[in-house]
Amino acid sequence: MPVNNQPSANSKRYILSLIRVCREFDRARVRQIAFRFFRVLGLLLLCAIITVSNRNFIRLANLINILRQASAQIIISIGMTVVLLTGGIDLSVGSVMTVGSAVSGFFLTQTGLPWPIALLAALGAGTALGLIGGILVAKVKLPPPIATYGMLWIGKGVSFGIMGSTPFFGFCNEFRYLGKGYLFGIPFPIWIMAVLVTITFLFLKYTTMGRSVYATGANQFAAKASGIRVDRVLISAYAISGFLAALGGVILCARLNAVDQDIGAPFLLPAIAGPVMGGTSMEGGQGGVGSSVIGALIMIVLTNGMNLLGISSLWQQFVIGLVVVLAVWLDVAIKKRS
Amino acid sequence: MVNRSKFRAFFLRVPTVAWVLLLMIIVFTISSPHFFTLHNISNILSQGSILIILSMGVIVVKITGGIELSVGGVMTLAGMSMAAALMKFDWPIPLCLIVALLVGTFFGFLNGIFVAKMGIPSFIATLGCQGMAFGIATGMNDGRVFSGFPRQMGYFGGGSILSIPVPVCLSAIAFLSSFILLGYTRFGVYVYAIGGNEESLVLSGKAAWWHKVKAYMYSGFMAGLAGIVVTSRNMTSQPMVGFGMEFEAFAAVVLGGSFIAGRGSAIGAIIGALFIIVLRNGLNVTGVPTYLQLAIIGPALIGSIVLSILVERGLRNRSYAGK
Amino acid sequence: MKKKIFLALLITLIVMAVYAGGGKEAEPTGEGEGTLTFALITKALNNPFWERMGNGARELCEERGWNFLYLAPTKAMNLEEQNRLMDDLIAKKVDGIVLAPVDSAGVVPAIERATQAGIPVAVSATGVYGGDIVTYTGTDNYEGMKLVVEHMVEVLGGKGRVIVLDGLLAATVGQDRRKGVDDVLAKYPAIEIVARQDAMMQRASGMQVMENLIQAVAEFDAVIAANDEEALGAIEALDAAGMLDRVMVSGFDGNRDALTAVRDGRMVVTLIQQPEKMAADAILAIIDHMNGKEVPKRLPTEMILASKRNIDQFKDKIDG
Repeated sequence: MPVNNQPSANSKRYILSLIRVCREFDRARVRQIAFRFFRVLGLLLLCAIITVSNRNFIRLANLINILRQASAQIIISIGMTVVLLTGGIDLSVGSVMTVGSAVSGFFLTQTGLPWPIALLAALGAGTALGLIGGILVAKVKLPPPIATYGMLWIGKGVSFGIMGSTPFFGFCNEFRYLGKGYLFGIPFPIWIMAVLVTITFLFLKYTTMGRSVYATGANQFAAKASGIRVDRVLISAYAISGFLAALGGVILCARLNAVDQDIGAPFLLPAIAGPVMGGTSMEGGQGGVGSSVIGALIMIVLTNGMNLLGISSLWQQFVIGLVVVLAVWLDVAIKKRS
Repeated sequence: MVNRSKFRAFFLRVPTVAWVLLLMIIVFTISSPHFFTLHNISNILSQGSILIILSMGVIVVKITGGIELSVGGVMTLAGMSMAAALMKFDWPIPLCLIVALLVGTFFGFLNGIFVAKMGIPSFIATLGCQGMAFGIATGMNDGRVFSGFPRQMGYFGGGSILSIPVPVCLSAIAFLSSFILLGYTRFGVYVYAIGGNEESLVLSGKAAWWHKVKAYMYSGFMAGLAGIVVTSRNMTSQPMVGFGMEFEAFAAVVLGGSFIAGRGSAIGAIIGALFIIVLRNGLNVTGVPTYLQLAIIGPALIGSIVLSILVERGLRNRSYAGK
Repeated sequence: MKKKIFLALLITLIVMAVYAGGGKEAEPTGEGEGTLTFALITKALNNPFWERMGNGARELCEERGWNFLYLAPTKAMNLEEQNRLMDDLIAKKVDGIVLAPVDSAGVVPAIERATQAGIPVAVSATGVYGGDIVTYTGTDNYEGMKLVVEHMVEVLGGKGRVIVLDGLLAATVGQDRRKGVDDVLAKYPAIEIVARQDAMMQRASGMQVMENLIQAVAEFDAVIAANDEEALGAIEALDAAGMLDRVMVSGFDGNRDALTAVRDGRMVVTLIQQPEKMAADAILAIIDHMNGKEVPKRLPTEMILASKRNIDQFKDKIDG
């Protein structure tokens, strides 16, 4: 505790200069940073509340567990983010996940081909489905919810076509490493997720195509007028979403060591709610990978926290629904202020 | 010349999916003697009543430009609430019915406030309400079902009025209600206006937001009604019974022509709902095993939707050019 | 011009798709006036157990020259779809229905409609609360689970900390198995149930629930699961956490994957059910009923405990 006055005079000067610096910043930028920070703050607050109630939450093992469980979900959310940024939506991700799992399962159990082929086939299938969805949106000009809803059903048909009514199980160990392995003590899926988050972030921020995504979402006509190949942007966005959804499916079935016909279905709605909660707007042009990851983490931490706190799984759905609505409302309300 | 424009006008009014539906009915009738029977038609309409009632509500919201994802959960909760009133509190049946309808309308009101007043995108708002509704439905009885209803409760699912099954009567009433609402009332005009051009409505002085809320309340009411029918048909109230129905209802209204905001109709929605029901029923009655059905349903759905959109665009472009 | 061609192609595609499905009924599998048609409705498409039921029923029908149709809800365990399937089968005027109910009370009105239409219904693998059924074939879930749990108790040496994974409590199958677990464990006060959660009889939820419980519960020695799929999911979670050598897991069903796990020492015990026989017995019971014979209301299907001791007997089930 300072005894003499010198430190407080210093602090006053310090604060004054800080205020001056802040004033010099562009108002909007400050607010932008504050909002992003605000959501992270919310996440941290949530973690703090849970830790107070159950110390097991903050243990490294639990945090790693959460991240590992969440990796497939986050990977899909990244794909969804790119699509959301263009102002669209991809309702087929759950179904494409299942296709990714089914294709890899098929190659692993029904053919003698080496596992990298299974992986490539799965990713190829997902990208193909995404491409079709993108073409439906960009060229045939179907509204995205309808185009991707149709792809959802096509995906289901493809999965059933591959699997018939028998689920696949029993995959080789090298493949399972994707889901179960560890690299430097951290589960492999987390590595995959981290790499993808970084790549997508850099892609969106620093490449022409990435910035075109934002432009297309903000105002498609203006984007076209300024020379952006909107068609290409849209198709790429959906292809990326398909690719990532298939990857998520691969990780999931590697962890589960089995595939069944509806493995991906529960992932769709959180893949939309997460990014939107994190600040990626459904109208396009706003948000990004960072926001989406935070939003997805909020949802995942919430679920894990509720489990740890012993909140009956029966009521968890209610809490999640409520939190999603409140979080998005907060986001909208704050945006209105600016 | 006159004939051509009348021809075109007729085609524009009838949703394309109606023709595909007709085609399907013909194909199924040829494939199985059990399809086009009085019994099966009655079966289709009874089974379909839940989807039809839900679609009649969802179409109103869809025209305003919203995506209604809560009807599955709200329907379930309405059913559970009604069952709770019946079994736990021993309320008389008419009162329990009112409970279901009130619960539905209330959640519709919530949705409306979220979307219209709080500015939350309809996708998220209705999704959140869905989660909340399912959550309450599961939590309110520890995940268990309510059963053992008194016999009279089965009337709304299994009884008949003048030998027409009650669910069919209810779906007919729902259809008429939406048809009249959308086509012949001022509220209907507002609904289309909100979908088409919300700003102009606001500028003309009407409280657009309140009409939006009413649209969602109407949808919630329908979900409540559907909850009554499904609970009555099953004579049980299951906390997950409505799971997935919101997507079916979405598909139904889209098939029926509601591709973008401001477009769609009650007739289109009911044809869309019938399309889905007839497709599933036809495949079952002609003996296609379920896992094979899924490979057919997808392409049939998306093919019909794409077809409808293209036809509609083609006709519209032609009519602009022709003049 | 291009659009017209596209339209024509689409229409053709749709017609072909629908007709391809519809044309199936013209299958000449002994098509004649006297051929009987049986249908099986299971709970979902994503568990090998239902697949085996389908196989058993199909083999029987092929043997006897009957028509067979296998249906299931596209959304797993969905009651509404099951009821729709029942109604469609009534319209199709099949000769008999075997049903594995998703909800023991919720299918009763549909069963009553079928009986009223003159179609005999037998339930299999799960019972019902009401309805005039021909019979209920299937394992005695209660007795079966008791066998499993007794075995686990023996392996644990009569004491330990146990996690229980329930499943599908809305149907008799979940409740009977839960009761079996509880009644046996009540006899051994040295065994403590440290956690209990519903894992919905699916592999994915089994894994997730187990992962969460691993974090929440300090130490435990065994996991008793309501069925094989849950158990296999839990095993994956335990394996990933490096706990599989210390923790014993039990299942129920006798799926091939589970038997492999028992052979490899990853699962301690499971109960082999005979879904093929359940379905076939149900159909045969319907035939007896149609011929006016007296059929017992409950036809238990034999079940066998499978553990490390006798796993060699089941080689054919694993490899076949």
